[in-house]
Amino acid sequence: MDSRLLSGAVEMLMLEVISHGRTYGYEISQTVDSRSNGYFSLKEGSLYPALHRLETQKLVKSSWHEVEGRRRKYYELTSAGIKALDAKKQEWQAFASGIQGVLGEGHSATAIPAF
Amino acid sequence: MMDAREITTRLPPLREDEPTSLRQDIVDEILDHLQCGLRRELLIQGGDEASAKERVLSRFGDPREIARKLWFQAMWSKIMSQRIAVGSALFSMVVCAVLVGMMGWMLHQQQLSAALQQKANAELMERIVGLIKPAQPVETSSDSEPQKSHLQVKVTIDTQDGPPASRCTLTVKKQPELGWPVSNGGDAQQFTLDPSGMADCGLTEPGRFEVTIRTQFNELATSTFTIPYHQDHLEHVVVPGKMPELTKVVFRVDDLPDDLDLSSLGLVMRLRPRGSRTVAGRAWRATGRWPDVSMPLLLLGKDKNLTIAVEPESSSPTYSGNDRWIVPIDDVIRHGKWVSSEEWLVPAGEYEAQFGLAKLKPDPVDYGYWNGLDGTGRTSTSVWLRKNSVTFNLESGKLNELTIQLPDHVSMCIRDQSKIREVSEHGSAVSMGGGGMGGGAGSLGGGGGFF
Repeated sequence: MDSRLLSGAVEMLMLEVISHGRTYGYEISQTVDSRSNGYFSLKEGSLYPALHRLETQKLVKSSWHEVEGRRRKYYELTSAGIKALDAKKQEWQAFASGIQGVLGEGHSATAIPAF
Repeated sequence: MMDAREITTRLPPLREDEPTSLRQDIVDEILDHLQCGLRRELLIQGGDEASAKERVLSRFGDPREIARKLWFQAMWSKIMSQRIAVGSALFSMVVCAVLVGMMGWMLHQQQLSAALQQKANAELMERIVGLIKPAQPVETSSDSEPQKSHLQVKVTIDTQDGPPASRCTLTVKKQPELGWPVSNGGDAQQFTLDPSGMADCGLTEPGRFEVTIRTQFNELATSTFTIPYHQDHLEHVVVPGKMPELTKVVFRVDDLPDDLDLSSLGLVMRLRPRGSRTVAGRAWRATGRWPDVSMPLLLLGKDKNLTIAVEPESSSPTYSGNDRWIVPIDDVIRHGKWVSSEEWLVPAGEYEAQFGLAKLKPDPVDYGYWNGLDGTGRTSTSVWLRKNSVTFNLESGKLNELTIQLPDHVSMCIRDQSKIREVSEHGSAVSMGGGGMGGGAGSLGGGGGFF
């Protein structure tokens, strides 16, 4: 998959996962992997720079909690992150709709029998 | 599985501006992920822990590299700010260094320029001091006369290396100059030359001087020069060694009216040398008083005789001592012409003939001479017609005959002395004949106002 397309998509996917409630890095990676049926075969470690970038952009905020004797960093969406997720969703749906429209027309054209 | 120390092996050294919990947060987050992954791997996949760890790390990637990325991500703004600050500081230092270098270079150039200017000023001062200082110490100088210079005059004959001319007299006169006090008054001082041709004029103040030298032939030349402060001066003058060549001259008067009464008023003419000769680049002006040469004074007077007289002067051997005109020579009438019987020897050259009228008085003792014009001196008895002068040239090597044609105006004045003033007031010209002089039958003439 094109890396530029993948970069924008991964951020949107992470925001979507975080939007469902406070979560942490490993959970986010597992959720994305399970929901995409392993389509995004990314290194799990590459999620963390993206998460920290979203945190720097104030789209998510973090907090540390003690879990099973370990410190765990949780992420949750900010109001700015919610707006950004909505915008990215609309943008992606428009993009996918456009792509689907083109691909759908081509498929329909071939399905119509020629008289 | 990696521990915290191993994860941080690729992190940069600890920075002062780094948050204290940054490294620990990065390590804790990565270790939590790896622990979760290992737990899940063991639960789902089973197997030994080592292979589970290997699979977890395989899916995660290199934790050290992830930790390094996260650290730089967190410190990026501070690092860039610091780099910008350092860069700005370095740039400022470079600019300052360049400015300091330029200022130093300019200062160096200014110092060089100042040094050159100072050197030039010093050289100029040395020159000025050299001009002010005397070239040689003056022995006679003393503290009481600190500004005086020694003036000497050296006179040689014909050339610079010629024999000394000791028979000359010289007159030194300081010319008054603006801004200079003339302590020796600008008065002329006469000096005589010693046998070596030297005249010591003594100490004098600086200024512009004029030296007039009279040779043994009574020729004059003037030399001017400037004596600066504390600088002695030796003025070298080259004088002529020989007299101008002598030539012969006779005088005659043509067409003298018969009714002209010259018993009480006579016509006089005297010769003045006008020429000069150049010796060693200097012009020597003749005075008309050469030694052993009596300049003729033409006198047309009693009984229409043309006589030759000489001007009275102390140096003349015919001077009687009482300011009278001495008439040493008779004139004869030759073929109805009045011609001087004497051939006069005078130096060749250019002359000016000056005419005048003089009252005549017969000598009580008739020796056939005119013994004076009035007995009271020429200034009171002679009226020189200064504007009726002519110039002519007496050529050397032949007999020069000067012919005078008496104009009617002069004749009229001689007949009636009251006409002298009348002619003068009306500006009538009195001419003394016309033509030139030369060969054996020259003539003198002139024109102009009466007085």
